[in-house]
Order: sequence, then C-alpha cells, then structure tokens
Amino acid sequence: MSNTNSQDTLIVIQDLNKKFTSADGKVVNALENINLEVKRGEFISLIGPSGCGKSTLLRLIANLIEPTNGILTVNGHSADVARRNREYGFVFQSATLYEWRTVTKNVQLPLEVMKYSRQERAERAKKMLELVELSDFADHYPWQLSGGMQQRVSIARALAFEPPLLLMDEPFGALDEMTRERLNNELLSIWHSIPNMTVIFVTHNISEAVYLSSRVVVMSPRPGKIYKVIDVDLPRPRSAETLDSDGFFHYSSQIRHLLREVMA
Amino acid sequence: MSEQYVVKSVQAEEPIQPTAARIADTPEVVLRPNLNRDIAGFMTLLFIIIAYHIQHPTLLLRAQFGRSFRGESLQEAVSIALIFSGAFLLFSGPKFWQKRHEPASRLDMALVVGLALFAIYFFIFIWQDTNLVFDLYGLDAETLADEFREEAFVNPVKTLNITAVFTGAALASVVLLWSPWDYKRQRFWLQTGAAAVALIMVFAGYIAQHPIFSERIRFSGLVVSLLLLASVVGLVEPWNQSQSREKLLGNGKKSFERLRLAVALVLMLYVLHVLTVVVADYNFFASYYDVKTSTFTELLGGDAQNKPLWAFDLAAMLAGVALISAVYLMAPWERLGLYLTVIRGNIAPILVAITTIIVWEQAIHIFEIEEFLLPKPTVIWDTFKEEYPKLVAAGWFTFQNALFGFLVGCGLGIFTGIISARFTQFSRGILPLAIAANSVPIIAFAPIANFWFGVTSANSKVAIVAVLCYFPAMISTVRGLTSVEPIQLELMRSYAATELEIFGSLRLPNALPFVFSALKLATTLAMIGAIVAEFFGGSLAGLGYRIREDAALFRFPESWSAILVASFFGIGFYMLVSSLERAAMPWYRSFRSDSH
Amino acid sequence: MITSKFEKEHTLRGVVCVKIVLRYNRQTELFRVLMLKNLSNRDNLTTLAYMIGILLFLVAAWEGLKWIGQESDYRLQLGPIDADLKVARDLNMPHLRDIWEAYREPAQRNGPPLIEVLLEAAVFTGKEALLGFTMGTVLGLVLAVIFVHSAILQRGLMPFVVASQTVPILAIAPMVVIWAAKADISDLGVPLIAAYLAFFPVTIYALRGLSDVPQTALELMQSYAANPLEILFKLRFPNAVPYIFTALKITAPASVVGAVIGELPSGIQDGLGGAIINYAQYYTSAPPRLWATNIITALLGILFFSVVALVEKLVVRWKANVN
Repeated sequence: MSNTNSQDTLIVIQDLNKKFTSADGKVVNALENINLEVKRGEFISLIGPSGCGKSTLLRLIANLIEPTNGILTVNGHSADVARRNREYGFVFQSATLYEWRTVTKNVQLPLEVMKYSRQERAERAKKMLELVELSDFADHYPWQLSGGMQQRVSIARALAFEPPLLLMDEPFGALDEMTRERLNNELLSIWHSIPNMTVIFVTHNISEAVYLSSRVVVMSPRPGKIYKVIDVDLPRPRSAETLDSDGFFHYSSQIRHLLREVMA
Repeated sequence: MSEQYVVKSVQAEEPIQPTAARIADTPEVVLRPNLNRDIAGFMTLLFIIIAYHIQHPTLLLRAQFGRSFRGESLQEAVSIALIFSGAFLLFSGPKFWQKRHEPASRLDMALVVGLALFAIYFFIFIWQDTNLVFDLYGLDAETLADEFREEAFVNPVKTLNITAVFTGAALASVVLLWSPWDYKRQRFWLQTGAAAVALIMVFAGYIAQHPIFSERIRFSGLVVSLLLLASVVGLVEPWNQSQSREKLLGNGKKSFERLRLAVALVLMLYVLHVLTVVVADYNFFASYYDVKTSTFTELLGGDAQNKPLWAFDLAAMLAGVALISAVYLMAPWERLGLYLTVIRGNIAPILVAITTIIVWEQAIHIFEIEEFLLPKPTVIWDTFKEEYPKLVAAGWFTFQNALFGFLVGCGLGIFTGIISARFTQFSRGILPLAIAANSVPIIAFAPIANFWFGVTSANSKVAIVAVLCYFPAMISTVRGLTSVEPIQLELMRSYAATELEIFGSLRLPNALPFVFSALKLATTLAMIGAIVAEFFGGSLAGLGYRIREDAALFRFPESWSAILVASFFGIGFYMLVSSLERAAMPWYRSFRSDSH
Repeated sequence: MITSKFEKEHTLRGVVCVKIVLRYNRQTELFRVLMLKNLSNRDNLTTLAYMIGILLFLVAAWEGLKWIGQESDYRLQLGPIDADLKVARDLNMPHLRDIWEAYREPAQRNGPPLIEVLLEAAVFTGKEALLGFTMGTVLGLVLAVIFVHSAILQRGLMPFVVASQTVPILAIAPMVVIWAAKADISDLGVPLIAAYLAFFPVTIYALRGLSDVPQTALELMQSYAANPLEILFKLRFPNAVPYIFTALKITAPASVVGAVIGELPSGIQDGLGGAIINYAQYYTSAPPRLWATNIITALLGILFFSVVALVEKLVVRWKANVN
C-alpha cells in the first residue's frame, strides 16, 4: 500500500472482520482481516469468485450491515455517520425502481428524502436524466423500460444528490454484452464529468474491471480476504482502443491467473 | 392463440413476520415444533373419557351429560373420533412396523392393543348396540339405569369406578413391565414369575380396598401390598445396569428407561393407595367425592347389586387400560422441553389473553359497569360450565350443517371451476359474474331457502352454506388454474405434453395455494353462515336458534358462552383445513412459526 | 371535440396495448384510463358476450324450469327420472315477470310503490355499510401499520384478530346495539357491526403489502438514512396499495352483509334487514316481494364492489398486470 496524503484518503479499512451466525449456530467467516485504503477520485473494482465477500464489503462500507470488529472510516468519520450524512449513492444489482413512480419521480426519490425543494428536485432530475440519456422517458413507468434502461435510471437516481462516493454492486451483471459496454463508457464519462468522485465497483467480469478501474482488488473466498491489489496503469480516457491494447491484455490475463489461483 | 396473460393475484394468506426495519445479519429460521403426537394423545384421552361416560348406563343420564350426548349421531361421531385419534397417535410416533424386532417398537404395539381393547368394545357398543360387558354378566342396561337413577348413587358409583380405572391402569402397567413380547432377555422366567405375582396382587389389592367387596372377601391387605411392592421392584430391577440390557435397548435407551420409571411410578401410586386404605382407613377417592365408607355398604351392599358393580368396574378397568396406554404412547415426559419452547414462542398472545381477562374483570368492578351490558368473565365461566353440554351438542348440530354445506359448496365450486377454466373465453365471461354473485349478501336468501326445503329441515341451512362457499371456491379455482406463468406453459409444450398432463402436473399444483386459501376462508363463512341461517327459523337443536333466543331475552352470559362454543368450532374447523393444507402442500412458503 | 388516434404500441415486454389518445378533458381522462387495458378489444367483446349469454341462459333456465313444472303438474316422470318439482311452484319461484311487477305496486295499501320503499331502505342500509366500511378500513390500516413496526404486538394480537372472525356476529349484534344506545351513539350500532366484518381482510392484506417489500428497496431507503415514517409513506404504503385494493374488494360487499345482519336482531325497521324480515313473514301472501328485496340487496352489494373496482382501476395505473 503506497503512502497516501490523509486528505486524499476517502476510505480507511483496517483489520476488518465480518462473521455471520446462522440460526443453527454455524459461524460463517465472510470477511477476515481486510486492509484497504481508497483515495479520493479513484475508480476501484472488487473482483473475485462467489462467496469471497465483495458484496459484503460493499455493504459494510455503506453501513447496511455492521462489522464484527475492525476499523472502517469513510471521509474521516464512521460509516453510519457517513450514511446519515448521505455521503454515498448505492446502485444495486437489480434496478430496484419503485414501480408506482415514474422515471422522473424515481430519480427524485433521494431528493425527497433529503428534503430538497420542489424546484431543485425537478432541475436535478432533469439534469441526471440528460446525463444518462433518458430524457425522452421521463414520464414512463418502470415496466415500460428495458433492463438496461432501468439500470441507467438507477444510476441517475444514485447521482441525483451528487454524492462524493458511488458504490455499485454488480450493476451491469444482468445485461447483455453490447449494453454493458455502452453503459461502461457512459459510467466512465459520468465519472470524468464529476470532479473528485470516487467509485467502488463490484463485479465478476474481468474485462469490465480492467477497463473501468485504476485499481483492481482481487479477493479470495472462504474466508473472504484480499488476495492481491493490482494497479491498472492504462491511460485515460479509456476507449475501444484500450480494449485492443497490449496493456489491457496483460492486466486481464494477470487477473485471470490470480483468480485461478484463488479458486484452486 | 390469444395472449396468455399472467395474472398474479394476491391470495388470502396468513400474516407473515414483518421484515425488520434494520436488516438483520441472517434471517432467523424458526422451526415449527411438531406437536402432532401431543395433540393426538390429548384427543385420544378426551375421547376415551367421553366414550366411557357414554357407555355407562347411569352416568349418561346424569344432568351433566343429559340429553345432549344421548344423541346417536354425536355418539357415533365420538366412536369414529376415538379410532381416528388413536390411529393418529400411533402413526405420529416413530414407524414401529419396520422396527418390529426392537423392544421399544413392540412395546408400542402392545400399547396399541391396550387402546384397541376399549376402542373395539365401545365401537361394538355404538354400532351393534351390544354392551359386551353387561352381556357377560347377563345384565340389562335399561333396568340398571332405572335401579341406579337416584342422585345418591352418583358419587359412590363414581368413586368405585375411578378406583377400577386406576386398577386397570395398574394392570396394564404390570403387563408393560413384564414385556412378554421380549421373551428372549435374560432372567425372563424369573420376571414372569414376578409379573404373575404382581398381577394377582394388583387384583387382590383392588378387592382389599373396595369398600363393599372387602367385606365379603377378607384377607390381609397389608400382606398384599407388600407382596405387590416386592414384585414390582422385582420387575423393574433398578439395580440392573448390565451390559446385555444396553445392547438390547440400543438407541433410545434413555427414553425407554424413563418409560419404565413412569410405569413404576404408576404402580407405586397404586400400592400407596391400597396401603392407605388398608392401614390408615383413608380412601382418597371416596373423600374426593365426599362419600363416607358406611354409605357404600348402605346403598350398594345388597346382593343384587353385586353383578352390576362388577360390570361397571370391568368396563372401567378397560377404560383404565386404554387411558394409561394412551399416556404411555404419548410419553409427555419426553417432550417437556418442547412444551417449554411452544409456551415461550406463544408467550405474547397468552399474556395478552390473561391481561385482557384480568383487566376486564377489574374494570367492570371499578367502573361499576352494569352486568347487563357486559358480564364479568367469572360469571361467563360459571354459565359456561352449566350450559356447555347443551351448547356443545347444539354446536355440533349446527357444525354438521356447516360441514355438509362446506363440502357440497366447495366441491361443486372446485368442480365447476375446473370445467370453466378449461374454456378460456367461458371462464373470462363467468368470472366477473361469479365475483358479482360473491358480493351479494347470500344470507338474505335464507328465508327463501326455508320455504324451499322446510323451516326445520337441515337442508335449507346446508343450501345456504353451500351457496356461500361455492363462489369463493369457484373463483379461486379458476384463478389458480389459469394464472400459470407463460414460461411454464412453454416448458410443458416443449415436452409435447397433452392438455391433461399439463393440467395434472402444472395447473393443479399451481392452483392449490389459491384453492386452500379460499377453503380456509370458506370455513369461517360456513360456520357463521350456518348459525345466521338458523336465525330465520330452524331446528331447536341448533346453535343459531339458541343464540336468537338468548339475544331476544337479553341473556348475555349465555350469549357469550354460545360465542365461545361457536368460536371453538370455527377455529377447529379452520385448523383442520389448515393441517390438510400443510399435508397437501409441504413445500409452501407461507408456513412460518406464527401461522395457524 | 374528440380526436382519436389508434396506436398499437409494442412495448418492450411484448404487451399489446391499445391506447385511444384523446384531447385532454376531465371526463375523457376517465374514459382513457378505462380503455387502457391489456387485452385486445376483441377479447373484451367476447368476454362481454359470454357474460350476457350466461345471464340469458339463467333467465331462460328459470322460466324453463317453471314451464316444465307447470306442464308436468310439478312432478316430472321421464324415464328413469322421477323428480318432485315442488320448487318450481309460483310460491317458491315466482315468475320473473311477477317480480318485475311487484316493484311497481305498492307494498302497503295506498303506500308508495315497492321500488321506492326498497330504495329508501337500500340507502339507509347503504349509509350504515359505508360508515362501517370506512371505520373498518381505517382500523385495519392502523392495525397493519402497528403490526409491521412491532413484531411483539403482532405476535400477541394477531391470533385474537383471526379468532375474532370466528365469532358469529349474530350473537354480538344485539350487544353492540345496546352498548351503542347506552353510550348515546345509537347511530353507530350497525355500522360498528359492519366494521367488525370489514376490518379483518384489510388488516391481513395491508400487513402483507406493508411487509412484503423487496429487500433491496428497503436497503435503498436505508442508504438514504430515511426514518421509519418516510419509509412507511414512500415505500411501504405505495407497495401495499394493490394488496389493499384486493382487500377492499372483499371488504366492500362484506360491510353490506354486516349491515344487513346487524339490522336483523336489532329490530331496526328502516333498512333492508327489516324489509327482509318483514316480507319473509308475509312471504306466502306475496312471494315476489321478498325476491324483489333480495335483488335490491344483491345490487347494493354489487354496487359497493363495483365502485371499489372502479377506483382501483383509476388509482393503480402503474401495474402491468390486471387482477
């Protein structure tokens, strides 16, 4: 781990452990001894086979579950303070749109909870929908949209209140290759357009991880540990050419080998 | 093919546990405790006791059970219920036939024999109108009933009979300890000797403490008791911790030992009873029923009364054997932990019930609410104790109507539902009509039904209940059969399945949750419908009629007692269908720990 | 002026939707929503045709049975069938024509026509039912909200809520009426009885709807640090609306039933319950009158149900499925 300027560090995780106890007494070691630092403005991916705890780690950072022990600070304070201060946006695997709200109203949901004024809500929602290129569908209901479109609305919703941190749990997993590539590019351009935005991205897709991130954290299962952290030194902005480059192939195969080791 | 539309309708379901506002780490899976054996055991005991009272010539005439249980249909129902609960009790235990070489299983079978003796006797009594015991003694139940009709005879007869029941239990316990089916064990012949002694001594002890027979046949009760004690100890063999016994008993040794301890306890109590009578001249049962020893000889000392007393006692002994067999099969001492868990799990509603009753009682007292408006729980309970036989009989009468109406209505509903669902367009047409018909207050047609079938006829009530149940059943059947996901249908078509196969393997299981929800709804409709239908005129024997009378005369404690009884039948009916549902759909998700 | 445009729009889920787009107008908004169905128009017409067909068949069967009865002198002997057709007598099954006539004639000498009497009674009972429906729904919702937030209260009270429905309201009715009279709210007597029948389905379904929210939707609210009240109004209630409407479609006719049954032992003359008792007593002298009353009662129940169904169609527009 390189020395980081404390002002640059957004998330500090030290010796984090998470145990689950099932009803019949069995203890599952979901995460063991996690140490990680995430700098402001980074795009970091968590990758690993199923059961390695990557989603659990994300939910710990989001304070949706509590750690068993260890240190976890977000933006200098504890995770639940961060949650109460609404310092992150969460994008789930499934779009989780509220089916009784139109697309616009769905994007406005966090803004309503955070008590933005009506005018501000309308403005921000409009801006976000433009960002994800869904302005034409502002008054549609979720059932009228395809999976990829719903996921874009979900991203727009997460960004509506411009959080400094974006947590994404396999957001494009259920989509086809073509849509996924498109959305990857959209995500990157959004990330570029918002200064100092940090993204933590959970995925099981190697090329996605390499394409998007500056660092890839490879995790191993049972118990969940960080196996290796790879710095992806590819030039930005990334594009279709990046996909064809030697560097991309190098990092992809490196990670592929690591994953094979991890699963053995 | 027109668009197969997915209609996912929301069904009537039991409530589910609310998800916590904060997400727990792992969801708690509360396993449902299996109380089948205990329920079966309790029901069996209850029915044995009721059956015993029914076959007793005089007890049946006593005001307590009066007219109500003399109804033949009720008696027949009891006999069938007894057989069913016995079978249920047997089968809710471990599968004994496969393990018939193990002593524990053979024990179970022996216990079944004990139960069966009484059950068969009662069955023959009800269905063949022959009382085997009385025939044995050449007695006629009618004349006996006349002889023993007086009030003064009640308590002495009860005392004697209870003792006989106890004796029967002791006899069965001896046979159990002896375990003749386990003849291969060590020192079996020694044990047989002890058992023979014990049996004779039990019987001798019975005579020794009998207020009347002990006058005729005199011998030392003390000697008898000591001999009995010795033989029992010989049978139990508490000093024996031998290897061979462990090998014999194998797994479940501890429960077997506990059973033997329970049996020994029963016998010890019997010995204690005989001893106290013989030595201290104190008859526990006589003092419970408030009968002086002299009264026995006065009332029942006559020669002519000898045989009847023997007959009563023989029947009582049979009942005693059956009762103790049921208790041993149930083995409640094994399941104390389970009972605790159940109580703990249900502590909340129990507490609420207790608190409500206490507050109710006190509130009436403190706020001086008129008894007229709201009776105290204690008053209601007293009324209930007096009235319950008549109410239960009335409730049973009404319940039969409800049950028949339910069967007819739901049966027809499901049948027509199946046929309608076959023709998509037809079902689309009939469904709105059925829903509309379901919105109609069917009860308004009760007077018309009375005219069609006759006011006192049960059929008018059955008809109303049938119509009440018909529509929910039909609607839910149609919905359940048609709301199959298109993708499932495509799968079946890819197997080139015929319509009939699709029906059997896909539509029918898919429809079961819908149908059962409607059936459970229909049980409440049926019972209440039957009662309300009687409001417009019905047989005097019905619960609805009684409620109407009570309401008209403002007899509120009676009303509440009637409500209790009606509720009991309604809940029982609902739980019956609920357990059918569980048996038919073991995979169904909606069953959580708090479901009924 | 109405302009109409027929658009056949294949949505991304392959559902065929026929929208009639009309120029914005308050009344036409209603019409527009009603036409937004998920089945094609042709299917709807066939359904309607079947409905009318079945109704006509029932009418024909009624009169047909009576005709057979009359011809065979109320005892049908045809081959193996030997049926007593007493039921087809005019006393038991009046001619439909006679029932129709009964509406126009006065029920009492020099009184208003029966139809007026019955409609007044229907309005009376309807008001009681409506009040009971409202009270029952409110109680049901309150209970559901309490239960969803407190597991303890749910475990403690739910068995009694369920058991309450096994109590025959016929027994409770007189007590409630007397209590209401004593507490000086005698107008609320019968509505309370109707509410007793009404609250249960609402409780059960609303509880289900409030609890049955997807895990991720709850997590989303948590990530916004929303408080339980916000979660209740923004997530649980909207989620529960379809469930609540299913319950309301059961509750609406149930409150009519409750109102009618509540009137029976209470000796109330002004409502439909009183009318039923009245015409049941004098049934033999004028059978069609009781039938006429029953038909009005039936229509009241159906009316309540239909209103709820209509409101549901207007409110629940986001669902791709139609119940």
